[in-house]
Amino acid sequence: MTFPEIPWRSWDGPLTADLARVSGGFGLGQVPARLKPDGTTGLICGFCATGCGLTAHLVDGEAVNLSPDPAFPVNLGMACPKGWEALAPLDAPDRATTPWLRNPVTGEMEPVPWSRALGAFVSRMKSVQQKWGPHAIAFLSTGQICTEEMALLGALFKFGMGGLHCDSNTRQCMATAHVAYKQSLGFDAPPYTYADFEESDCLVFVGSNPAVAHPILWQRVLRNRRQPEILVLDPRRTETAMAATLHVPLAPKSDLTLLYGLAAALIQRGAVDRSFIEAHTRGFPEFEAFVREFTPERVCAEARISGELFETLVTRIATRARVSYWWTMGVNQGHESTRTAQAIINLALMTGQIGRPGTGANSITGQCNAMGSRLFSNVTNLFGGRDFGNPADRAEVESLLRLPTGTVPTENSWAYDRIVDGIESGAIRGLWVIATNSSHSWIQQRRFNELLGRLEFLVVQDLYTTTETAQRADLLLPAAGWAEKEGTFINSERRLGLVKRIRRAPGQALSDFHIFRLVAEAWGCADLLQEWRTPEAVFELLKRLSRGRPCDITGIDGYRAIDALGGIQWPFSQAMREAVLDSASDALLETLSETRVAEIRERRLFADGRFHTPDGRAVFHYSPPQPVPEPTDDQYPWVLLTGRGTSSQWHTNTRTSKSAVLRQLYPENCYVEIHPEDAVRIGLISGGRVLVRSRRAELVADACITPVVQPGQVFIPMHYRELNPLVLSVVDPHSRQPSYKFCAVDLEALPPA
Amino acid sequence: MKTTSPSPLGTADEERLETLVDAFLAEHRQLSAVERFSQRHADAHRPLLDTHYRALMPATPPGPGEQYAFEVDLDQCSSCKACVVACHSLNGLEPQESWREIRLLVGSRPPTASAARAEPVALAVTSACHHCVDPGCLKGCPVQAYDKDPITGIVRHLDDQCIGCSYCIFTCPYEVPKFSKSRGIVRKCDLCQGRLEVGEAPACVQACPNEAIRITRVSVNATTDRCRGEASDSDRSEAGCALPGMPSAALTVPTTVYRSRHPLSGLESRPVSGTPAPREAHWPLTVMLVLTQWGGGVLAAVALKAGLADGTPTARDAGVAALGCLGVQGGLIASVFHLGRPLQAWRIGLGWRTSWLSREAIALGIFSAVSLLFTALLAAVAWFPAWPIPSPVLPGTAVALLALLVVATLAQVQVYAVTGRVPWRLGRTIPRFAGTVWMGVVVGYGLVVGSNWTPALGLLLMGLSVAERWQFFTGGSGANAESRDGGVS
Repeated sequence: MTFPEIPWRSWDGPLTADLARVSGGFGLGQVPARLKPDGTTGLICGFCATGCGLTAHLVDGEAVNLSPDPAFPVNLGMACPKGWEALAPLDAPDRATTPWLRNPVTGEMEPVPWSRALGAFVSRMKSVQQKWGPHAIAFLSTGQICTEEMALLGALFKFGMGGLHCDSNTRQCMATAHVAYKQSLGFDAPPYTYADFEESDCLVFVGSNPAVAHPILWQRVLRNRRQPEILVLDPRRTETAMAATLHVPLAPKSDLTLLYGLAAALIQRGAVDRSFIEAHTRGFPEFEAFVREFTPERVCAEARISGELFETLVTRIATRARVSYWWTMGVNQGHESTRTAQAIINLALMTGQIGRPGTGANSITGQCNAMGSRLFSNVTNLFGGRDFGNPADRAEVESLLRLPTGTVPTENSWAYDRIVDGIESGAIRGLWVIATNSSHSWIQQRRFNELLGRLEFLVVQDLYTTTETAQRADLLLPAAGWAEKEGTFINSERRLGLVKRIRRAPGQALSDFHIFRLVAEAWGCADLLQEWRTPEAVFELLKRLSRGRPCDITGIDGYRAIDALGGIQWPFSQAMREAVLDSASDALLETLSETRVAEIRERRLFADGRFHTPDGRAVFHYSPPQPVPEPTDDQYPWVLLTGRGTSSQWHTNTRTSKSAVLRQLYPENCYVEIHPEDAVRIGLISGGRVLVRSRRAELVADACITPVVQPGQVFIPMHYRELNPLVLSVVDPHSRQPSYKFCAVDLEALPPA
Repeated sequence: MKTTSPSPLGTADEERLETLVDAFLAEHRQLSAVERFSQRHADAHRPLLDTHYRALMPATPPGPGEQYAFEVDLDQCSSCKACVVACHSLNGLEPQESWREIRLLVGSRPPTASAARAEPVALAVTSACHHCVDPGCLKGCPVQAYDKDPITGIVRHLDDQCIGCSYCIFTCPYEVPKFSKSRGIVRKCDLCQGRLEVGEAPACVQACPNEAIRITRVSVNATTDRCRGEASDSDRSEAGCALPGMPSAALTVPTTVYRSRHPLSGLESRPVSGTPAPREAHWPLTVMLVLTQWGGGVLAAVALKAGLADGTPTARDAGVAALGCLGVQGGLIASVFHLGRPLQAWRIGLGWRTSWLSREAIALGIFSAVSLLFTALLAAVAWFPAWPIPSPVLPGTAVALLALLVVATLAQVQVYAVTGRVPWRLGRTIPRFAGTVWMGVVVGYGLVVGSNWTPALGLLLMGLSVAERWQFFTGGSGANAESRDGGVS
């Protein structure tokens, strides 16, 4: 007879099994046993424009986990915290699962079936148009939905609903880069490929903090084996600046002056490529004369840097063979942002640092599909980077899309700021907000939110019922999110990548694509959009619209080819496709050999020095720097800078706040970075709080005393909603992108809470 | 869902739309990515990332006198925090759970020969379990729920052995183990033991885009010398685990190696959340300590008076002793509410060789048994004076009771003192705990002699004791490196 052994020590059991790991197969390595997949598939991350490939771990086709895709050419098996946690925001309890309509009597939101919601949409929007004209309705869209969805929305609104004024939140992030490229290079064409991070001898980052804002691009910088100079122009000592070989802590918004000074100094040293200038550019002599007055003395005085530091900067740029320039929001969100971006482009042009490996004037994009929006949303430009004002462009689009003549509007839409002004003037009475949180993010959110109250009808289409904008809606349309639908994104380096449906949307939520199709049906314009049936069918239309354009994608077979090749950069024309196919029998791109794949994987533009302007020459654009609109004074003696807080926060935190693990990686309360000397000056103690007051509003933030900001400057991350009302309402005259980066504030120390 | 107001669309239109909605919803239910796109890497034998992380792992397992350790290159870390989230995802942890965490080191580096100006610094410091040579968690665990692997040195937590007492969170200077409310146990990093066994890298090593975390083999003796021998602060190129704000490495000999080319002393350590972790009051422990110490004191008063001094116990003495027993028993019951898995409490004595919590439990158990015996004896003598009890029994029991009270109280003191936290040092804890017992003695004596002021004084002092103990716990618990012995600042 044996007694059961007394379990003095339990080495195993249900709690241990909970954490068991087993081989996941599919090249994943070990995974949690509870989450062992029976299949995997790849898709592009839906946060930023780095465009990382993620591998979804599937059980019965549904994603149970995610990991970065080691075979994807962008991220090489890595992801930032947002990418790792990309599924968590889909499971949030505040997802919109049914349409909600505000009851006019009670003022309360009530759940309604889709047919009622669509009925309300159509009748209220049409009634606005009948009373106030067809252009009294507008939409504000996003850089976060698929290209096919943006395209359908643009076609539906402008061709089917008779609307004109529309814009998207890319106005807040990438409008400047778009306009700068278009004017200088003839097309909105960021010329680089991510391999350039690794191929460069000298990387100049202007107003860009990739270590935190684009961690996976920073990974590519650290993979550079050429011992590169990393030069960072930023008022703050950011994580990137700390890792740089030279940090130039220039005075806020002295960037344009400094860049002109750089040009002058390089010319002075003869460090320019006269033959490239001669052959491929226009306007250099005038530019040379213009920058002459930007002497080192003037530049150093205005940028508040030493002459020695400036000289070092010039020398390092002048002496390295492959110089690349990279800019982000520090440039794009300024009062003279377009000229600043073009000052960077000018530097690359005059030194011939473009079109070769490791060179370029390169804009790092913000949102996952800002690039799709810039090319195919039919908002600021007619499809494919065309011009609404150009009769030939209009006729071409009408013919390609089989639209009746005269369907395409002849005027441009108003930009975001003008649409908001239009609400104030009464010109806009009905507004449709799609996948953006304007009530938090648009400049002067208080004014914006007040104006929303004047609308006759506000429709918000979003994943969540709880965003600041959704809570103000008259009608809320429940949208499926990233990974609950399919379509393509275009990343910073022009790479088209695929989003797939690996999750079921909750309740009645539908993809934006399907919502637009339903609106078309209910509106009565579905006949016009007969070809726009599925995302992949729309992709075929986009190919058709791209033919012969700089963004030609006619060589891409379809979604399967994008998937198989790890994304495909534009341009990829029919001719390029035929050039890489091994034989006539090799009819499908996805069967290409490894070497062929490598050939088309990383491609940059302008190797031949031919740009997209009518004469093929790039153009120098420049204007005298303008003083900041709100300089500091005795009453408001500090400069307020804004930007991203941490790599685990995204924009208005709508999604990143849904993940418990991400929430632990950033401060819950709004905080202000302040230099130790300034802390002493205002009597701030460690753990204290600060009252920050601008001419427009004030906030109370936790104090973060740190020398990464300079004395006289403070920094507050954009993710906290109380920041926005303080910021100045100014837009760049060319791109109409708001300047979030500079305003004058006063500080007052408060005791700890 | 139905509302009564008329629809702006006709019924036919509504029906047509609803049909379309149903078709779209049905399409959304279909998940066919694998069927539509080819399944890649179906027959991959090795993890695809293998080539990436092979250089970040030792070629061979640790030899004699060695163990595995994390090595972190602080200069390579860009503060992206992917390691924290990858640990969470690749180990299938709870929504908020990760076995890695980040703190920041903020300040200025003084001017040097190469940098004329003071350089502002904000460094992220990623940390997980340090798989210590002399692990505090293992020594503190009352149920032997920790195991240090003799070959790899990995400190593994046996989840099914754990009773959820959380004492390891106190004895780990870094508070690495985290309590899971839903499971009633603590969990911690196991250095991805199973991954290492098959040549795969731990989740955090796999996920770092900048190759800042690697696995190395370290010499156990050299690590011990560095942590407990003569510290060489000048050699900052190998900072070991002596970063600003970290508890003294001498406590548990952590094996993680932090490297930086730059001096790090003088920097200030901060949590990323901006706010320090909340400090816990630990109410069941507060009640347990107060009641057992008060009960013990009351029993001691009776033992001194009736058991030793006059030797003629009364019914009143027996009653007061019973009250003391009630306190001790109540305290023991309260302690069970502290456990995440109270049904496993029977294991508590297993760790007596190393764990003061185990010893406290055993001492209290014996004390409570003897106090019951003592009270029964008093009652027997008081009510049945004729019962022939040999004369040395009662005083003998009283002496045993007093001795056990001293032992149990000292064990209670040691439970907290060995954690190395400054507020819980011997010099601070002995007066606190002894004072509480003394209050019990005073009030017990008052009850025995029937003084009128006793109940009021008793309640007042009891209130004071609870407040004192609340302060004791909130002052000593919580992730607060500065409050620990030898904390480097």
